[in-house]
Amino acid sequence: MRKLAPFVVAAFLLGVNGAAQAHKLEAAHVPVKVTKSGLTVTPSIDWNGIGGRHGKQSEVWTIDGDRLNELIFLGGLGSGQTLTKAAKHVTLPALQAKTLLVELPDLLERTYRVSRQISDYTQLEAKPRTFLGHDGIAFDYEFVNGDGLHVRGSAVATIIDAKLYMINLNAPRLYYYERSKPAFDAIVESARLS
Amino acid sequence: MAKACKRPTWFASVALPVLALAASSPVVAARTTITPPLAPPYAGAYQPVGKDEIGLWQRDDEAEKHLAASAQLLVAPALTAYVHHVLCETVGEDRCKGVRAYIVRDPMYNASMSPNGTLRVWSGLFLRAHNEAELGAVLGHEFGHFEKRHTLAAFKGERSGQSLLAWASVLSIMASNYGYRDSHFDQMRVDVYGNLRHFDRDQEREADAIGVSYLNSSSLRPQAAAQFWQTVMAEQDRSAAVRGLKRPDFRGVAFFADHPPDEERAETDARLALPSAANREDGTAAYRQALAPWLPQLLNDQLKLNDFGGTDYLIQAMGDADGWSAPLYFARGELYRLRGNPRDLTSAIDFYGQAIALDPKLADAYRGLGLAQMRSGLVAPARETLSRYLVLQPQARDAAMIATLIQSDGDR
Repeated sequence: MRKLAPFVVAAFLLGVNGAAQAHKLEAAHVPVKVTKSGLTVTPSIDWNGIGGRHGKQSEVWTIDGDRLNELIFLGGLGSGQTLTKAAKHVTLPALQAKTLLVELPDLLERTYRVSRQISDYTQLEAKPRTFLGHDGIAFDYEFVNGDGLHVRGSAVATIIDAKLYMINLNAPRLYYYERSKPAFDAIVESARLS
Repeated sequence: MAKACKRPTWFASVALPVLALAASSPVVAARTTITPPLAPPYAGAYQPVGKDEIGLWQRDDEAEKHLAASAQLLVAPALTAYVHHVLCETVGEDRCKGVRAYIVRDPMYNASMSPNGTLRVWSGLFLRAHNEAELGAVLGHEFGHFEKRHTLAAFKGERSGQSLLAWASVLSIMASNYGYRDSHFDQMRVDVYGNLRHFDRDQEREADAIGVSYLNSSSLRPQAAAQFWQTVMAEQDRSAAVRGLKRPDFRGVAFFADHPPDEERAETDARLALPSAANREDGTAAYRQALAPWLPQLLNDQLKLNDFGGTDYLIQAMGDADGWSAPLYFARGELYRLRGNPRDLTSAIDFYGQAIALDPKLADAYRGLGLAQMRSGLVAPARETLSRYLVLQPQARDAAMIATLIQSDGDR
């Protein structure tokens, strides 16, 4: 048993390390680089990083679990790229070289409708705002998910040198959206591009 | 001991093939044959009989309560009443009274009828059917399932099949303990599942036949049933072609397919339709009128599916059948602008222009036109068009963004 002990400890440590990689702590007030695109944010509270499930240039964070608050970073998406991944037979809308900022809410809506099979989706207010030091857009939306739950979302985006940068939060309208929104706003305010 | 050893092996070697034979026999799934008789009138106050049916109805009652309060329900009282009216036109007043119709907001086409008389129609069906007769064909088909208690029969078939497999697996394990191995169990499993799906397909064939027989007995044109399937196939064809995919196989039957192939359904429906009824009314004008208030939303839901070929086919088919209207031109403009190739933007500008010519107050057409012009480098006309949009819709959700775009040089 003694001989086995180091292996058991090593296996345990590897296991812990593996888990830490799957759900990485994004600590409050610590600047962190996201999406490998030069985008840096400083969260105001602790978040859980849960990987890049929407593509190589994405990163997802959550507070209570991704079905309760899902924060999606997209960094440096170029022409022809999509906002998420999908099965091979599914055709997602792609960013185009001349996509206008005002068209981004449409792009997100079509992406969600196809990739998440949503049929009830409503775009809410869209207004200009500066993001990463450039002209950008801030917009809200709502949809009914597969569980019949009303989900509310907010996104802030800009296009710099034909590359899209977006931070997008969605959470159930009841309780979780309001709970997550201040932390989302803090992350957007802190966002910098290096 | 040796005797005891022999008996189960012998038993299993005989029992398994017998069970395997049973799996492919009508015991598991009584196959139905295609006959187009008119079913006996449905008694509106029918109460479920037997444990199975009572259980199914209880489950459906709960599901219906959930559906009635669901956020995915399209709250459209007039359109829902119209669907019920078309059902009554198709199956007759004496049959349709007990049915409750619901429209589910979903851009795909589908309809279903539960054992307790709940009719669900997916909103995408309204874009595929072009008249009352085609809608009636789908509703009549679903009513056929209901009247023939197909859900109950399928449930019983599924349970028999699962029981058979459970017993067979026990025997198979017993046999293997005595050193007997064969492939009867695996074969039986394939047979059981194959039979169940075959049973499903035969139920669909029977419901098709009943649906057409309802139309034959109604005042609507029964040939519409086949026409509906032609539309569905043409849409899939166009969708695949634009995506660069292989043409769909409308004739082949996959092992797990629970519906007959579309081409077979179109041919069967055409064959069963009463030839002397070919000149009957199909209710196009009434259908168009009932749908008009919801057409923009239905088209918008379809557009957002990101299926260029299928959507373009549907819009064109509606335009050719019902005449081109401002909502149809607008939808086609949106479709082309959203795909966004330079040639698409040129086409989009043309479609938006035709929509505005038919309805000069269609604010969203000015928005689409302005954005297409802006992306095409026509900055001055774009500013003018977008300004018109803001005049028509000053409270638009994106008014501030459009105002910013008007003042920009059009690059963002």
